[in-house]
Amino acid sequence: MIKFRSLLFFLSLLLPLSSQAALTIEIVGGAAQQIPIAVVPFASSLSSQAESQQDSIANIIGADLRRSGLFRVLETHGVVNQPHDIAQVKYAEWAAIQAQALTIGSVVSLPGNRLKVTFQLLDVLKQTQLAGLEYNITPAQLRITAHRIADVIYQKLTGEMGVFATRITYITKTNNRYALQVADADGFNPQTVVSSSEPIISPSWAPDGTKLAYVSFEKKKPVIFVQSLVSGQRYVLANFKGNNSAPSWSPDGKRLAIVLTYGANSQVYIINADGTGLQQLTHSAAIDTEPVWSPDGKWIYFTSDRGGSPQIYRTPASGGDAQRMTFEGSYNVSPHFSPDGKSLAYIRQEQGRFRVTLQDMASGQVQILSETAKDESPSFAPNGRMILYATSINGRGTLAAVSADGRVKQRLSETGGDVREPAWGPATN
Amino acid sequence: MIRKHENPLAFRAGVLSILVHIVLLAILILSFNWKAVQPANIAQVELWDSLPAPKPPVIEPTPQPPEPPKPVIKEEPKPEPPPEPKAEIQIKKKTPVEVKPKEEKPKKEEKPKPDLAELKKQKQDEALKKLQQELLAENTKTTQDEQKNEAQAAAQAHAAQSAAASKNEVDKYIGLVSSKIRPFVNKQLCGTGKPELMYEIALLPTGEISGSPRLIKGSGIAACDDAVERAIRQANPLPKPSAEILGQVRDLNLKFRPNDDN
Repeated sequence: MIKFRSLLFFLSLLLPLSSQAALTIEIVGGAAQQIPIAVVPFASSLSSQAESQQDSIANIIGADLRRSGLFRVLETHGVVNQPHDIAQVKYAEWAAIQAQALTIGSVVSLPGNRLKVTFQLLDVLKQTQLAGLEYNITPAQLRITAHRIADVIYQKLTGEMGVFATRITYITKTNNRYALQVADADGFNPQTVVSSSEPIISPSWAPDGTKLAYVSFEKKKPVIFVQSLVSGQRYVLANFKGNNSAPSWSPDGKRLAIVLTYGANSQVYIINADGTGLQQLTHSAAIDTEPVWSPDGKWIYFTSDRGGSPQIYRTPASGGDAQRMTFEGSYNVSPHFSPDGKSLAYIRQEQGRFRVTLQDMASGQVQILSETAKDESPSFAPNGRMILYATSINGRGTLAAVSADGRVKQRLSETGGDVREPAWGPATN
Repeated sequence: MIRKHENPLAFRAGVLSILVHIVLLAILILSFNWKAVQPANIAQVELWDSLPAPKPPVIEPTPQPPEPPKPVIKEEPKPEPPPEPKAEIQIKKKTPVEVKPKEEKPKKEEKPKPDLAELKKQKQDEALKKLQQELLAENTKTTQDEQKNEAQAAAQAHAAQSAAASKNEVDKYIGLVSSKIRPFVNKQLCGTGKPELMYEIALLPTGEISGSPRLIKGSGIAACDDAVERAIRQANPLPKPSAEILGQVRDLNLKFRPNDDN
C-alpha cells in the first residue's frame, strides 16, 4: 500500500510542470475623459402643458451630468426602443451606441396632486442594475428631484458625492440695484434674499445651509447681517464703530470671524453667532482681512500685508502668532479651503492678471487653475471637485467654474446684469 | 546485510526501490534533449551552375557587374554564416576554404593585366564549375548519419524559428489588445496618484472574453476599478488571436497604470 502510494506520488511528479504563467499585458494611460451615459426620457403621465413648462427630468439630469465634465451624455433619439422599466431594456442596443450606463424612469400622477418619480441606473456592459429609487413629491419639487437623481447617478459611477442638488449664492447688480440671490447649482430658480440700492458684498453660508451672513451698505456704512433662508428674518451681527466686513462661519456654525476697523486698521475678530462675545484675533499694524476657518476649526487663514505685500497667513483660532502660508508671487489674497482641508484656493495677481490658484497644503505645490484674467472670490463645491468664482468677461461680471485638477472649465450662463461674489452652499441631505 | 531480526521483506523492498529509481532515471535521460537547440538563422547555400557575372540582374543590387572578383568574393561569406548547425558546417566549411585559394590566383593574375579581364573571367567560370562539381560529388558521398543530422538540425531550427515567430506574434497580439482597451480607460476617475490595477480575463478562441474580468489587484479607488472593468468590457471582443499563439493567450493578466504616461 505504501509502495503503491509512493509510486503514485513519484509518477505524479512526472506530470508536465510547465504551467505557463498567464501572459501579462500592460496598459498604460487612458484616453477616455468621460463616462458615456444614455438618459432616456422618462415616461410621463403629466399633461404636455405641465411638462413644457419645465424641463423634462431627463433633460435636467443630462444637463447636470454634462456640466460636471465627467460624463458624455449620449443622444437617445436614434434608439428605437425607449425603455421606461428594466424589463423593457435591450442592453445590446445601448452597447451598440457605446453607452456604459443607462438611466430610465417614469413619472406617475398620484392622488392629491402628487407625483411618483421612479428611476433606475443600469450598467450596460455588466447588464445589471446599479441603483433604483422612488420619490413621492409635489410638482414643485420636480427639478430638485431630478437633481437628486443626478446626484445618485454621479455618486454611483464616480464614487464622489454629487452636488447637483446644492445651491449657490451670488450678488447681482442690475440698473444700480443690488440683489443677494440664492439659486440652484445650475443657476435656475434664483430667489432674491435681500435687495438694496446700496452695495451688498461678502455673502457667507452657515454650515447648515439655513442662513447667510453678508455685508450691506444700506446704513451707509458696512454692517454685517445674518439672515435666515427659511423664515427670511434677519438680524444685525456686527455694527461696531468703523467698518464691519468679511464674515466667515466656523465649521460648527457657532461663531464667525469678521473684520473690523474698530481700532484703526482692519483686524480680524471672532464673534458668537448671536453677536455676543467679541474677541480680537490679530494684532498687527497692517491690514488683516478676508478670514476663513480651516475645516477642522483649528486655524483661521487670512490676507495680510504685514510683510509689505498682500499674502496669506494663518493664526490659531484660539489666538496666537500669525504664520505666513504663501511664498510664491507678490500678491495672494482671498483664501478659501477645500472641504477636506487639503487644498487652499486663492487669487494671485501676476502681471496684472488675477487668477484662481490652488495650493496643496501638504506639499506646498501651487497650480494656477483658471485661464480668465480678473478672477475673484473662489468657492469650493461641497465635494471639492469644482471651484466656483467670479470673473469679468467683456466688462461684465460672470460666474465661472474650474475643476480642482484644472481639466474642466465652464462659464455659467449669464442671467443679465453683473454677477459677483459667488459662494457655493453646503451639501444638502 | 539483511540480518535475521530484520524484516524479511526488506530485501524485496530494496530491490523495488532501486527499480523505481532506475525507471525515473531512464525517463529523465530519455526526455532530456541533449541536442543544443540551434538559433533560427539557417544558412542558405545556393549551388550554382553558372556564375552571376554574365547575368547582372541575377546578382545582388551592387551596380558593378564589370568587376567579376567582387560578386564572386561576396558569395564567400554566404556559406560561412556564424550560427550554423554543426553538422552542416563541416560540409560548408570546405567550400570557402577551397574556393579562396583558387580565387586568389585568378585575382592576382587579373590585377597586373586588366586587358585580359575576359579571359580571366572565363577561367574563373571553369574553376568554379569544377569546384562545384567536386562539391556536388562530395555531397552525394555524405553518409546517412550526416543526412540524418541535417534533417534533425533542420527540424530543430524550424522549431526554433517557429518559436521565435510565435514570440513575435505574441508581442503583436499584446500590442493589439493594449491599443484596443486603452481608449476606453477613464483615468479621470482614478484620482491624482499613480494607481496600479490588475485584472485577469479568460479568452475564447474568437477573442471574446469568457466570463467576467476578475480583479486581482485593486487600485484602492472603487470608482477607478469599476471604470477599468468597464473599459475591458467595452473593448470586448478583443482581437482574435492567431492559431499558433492561442495556447499562450488563453489567460491574460491585464495590468493597468492609468495615470502614467509611459
